[in-house]
Amino acid sequence: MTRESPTGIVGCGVYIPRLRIKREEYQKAWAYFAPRWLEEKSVVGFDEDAITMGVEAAANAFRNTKLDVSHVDAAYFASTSPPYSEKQNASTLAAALGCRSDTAALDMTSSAKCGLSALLSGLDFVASGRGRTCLIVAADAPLADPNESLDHQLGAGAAAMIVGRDLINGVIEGSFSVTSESLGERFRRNGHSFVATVDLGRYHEASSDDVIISCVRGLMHSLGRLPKEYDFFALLGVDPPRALDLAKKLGFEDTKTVPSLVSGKVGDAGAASPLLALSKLLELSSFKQRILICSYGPGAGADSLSIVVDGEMKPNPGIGFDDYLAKKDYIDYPAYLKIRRFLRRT
Amino acid sequence: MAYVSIPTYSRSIPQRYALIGAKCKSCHAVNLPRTLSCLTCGRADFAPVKLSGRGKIYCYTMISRGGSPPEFSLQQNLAGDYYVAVVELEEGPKIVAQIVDCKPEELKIGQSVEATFRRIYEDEGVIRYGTKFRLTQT
Repeated sequence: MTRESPTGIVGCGVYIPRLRIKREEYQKAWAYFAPRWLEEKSVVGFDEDAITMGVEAAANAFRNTKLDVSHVDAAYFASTSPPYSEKQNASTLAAALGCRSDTAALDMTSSAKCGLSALLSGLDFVASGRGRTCLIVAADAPLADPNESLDHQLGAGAAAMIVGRDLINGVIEGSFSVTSESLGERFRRNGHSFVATVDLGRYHEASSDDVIISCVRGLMHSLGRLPKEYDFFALLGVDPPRALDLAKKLGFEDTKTVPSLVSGKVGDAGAASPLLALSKLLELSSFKQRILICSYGPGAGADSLSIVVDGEMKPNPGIGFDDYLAKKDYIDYPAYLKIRRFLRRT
Repeated sequence: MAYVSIPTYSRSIPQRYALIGAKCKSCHAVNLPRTLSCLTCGRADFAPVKLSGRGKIYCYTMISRGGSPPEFSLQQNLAGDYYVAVVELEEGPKIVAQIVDCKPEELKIGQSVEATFRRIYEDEGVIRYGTKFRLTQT
């Protein structure tokens, strides 16, 4: 749908944890590394989790904008790996940031697409007049059984968006959502720590292709826009080679899609990926450029969003996406097993 | 183990999570952690103040195997040696905290640090979050 009221993105911030593990470490341990599109991935530190990464990203978002935490009327937290399944994680985030006590806080979870879904809900919060400013934080460090190849691709990261009616730098043109039901693609049953998949290869790809294509085409149709009118295209929730294939099928050249392929740099950061990609694009985009982002949630559906850049969103020195990418310490595979507590469940 | 009950920990959440200190209304000294009376002048009338999180390393040490208190032994065992410092905050107070994401050769007395929100330890099934420091990035 198109949005009538002037709401938009004020600014954004990112955080990528410092630890990295290279594909060679997996090859030494397992004789293979499943994702061909990944050279190394970020690893959440022993004393970090989705909340602490989210706090860092949110603090950076305030450093990058003229707003401070006292303006926040709502704080939304999106993650598939929240430290608590019950006891709202957004409350910890709000307390750590020093939000007002009359802030409305909410967790969104259970699909890798919930990062972008939370952004859409935050825009609705502002557009409805319920409040003037909403902070949306997506942070994730998904965990899979280390005996399964799904673990190989899983990374970590966080991104935060401040949306509102004042000081807008990214205008929302419209959004489109598709809901689908697909079994076994990626799931985590209640009470389990590990994300799982029933690997059916092309079967799942065919159904997710349909969802993604209808979500992107649905948005462009509702706005009367064509791929050539966009400067950047981002597709998250599928691996980078598939994102490029689908982008081509939809009419977007590789050069428009490549900048958003953050999973190829930090690994699959679950619900953080869509907002990490959007933050990276907002950092490098310039006045009047147009961005289309689509976020797919395996087995769930997809959301898409069309944005026109209306101001500068350059990060402060040292806290942009590329700055965090450059700050890294490598660990070996045994250290990875220990830090992620695979050897001891606590 | 230095047991801190949930009610005690909860009372100190603003200072542990967000570095909210107590500024003495008489002598303007900043107290962190909060005290019943001002450490500088002894009066007991405070206003809350949000600290910047910036400071300098006053002194530091490394904690190796066998050296950590029980609530930090899992961290030492799984993530390796860690660093603890007395950090002198730019508003005045000195607090004890871990220094994260650094190599031993990067640690120096007088080194600028900034606050970061981290998990401290777990007890009674509850995650105790709080403040650690890292070397200033920017």
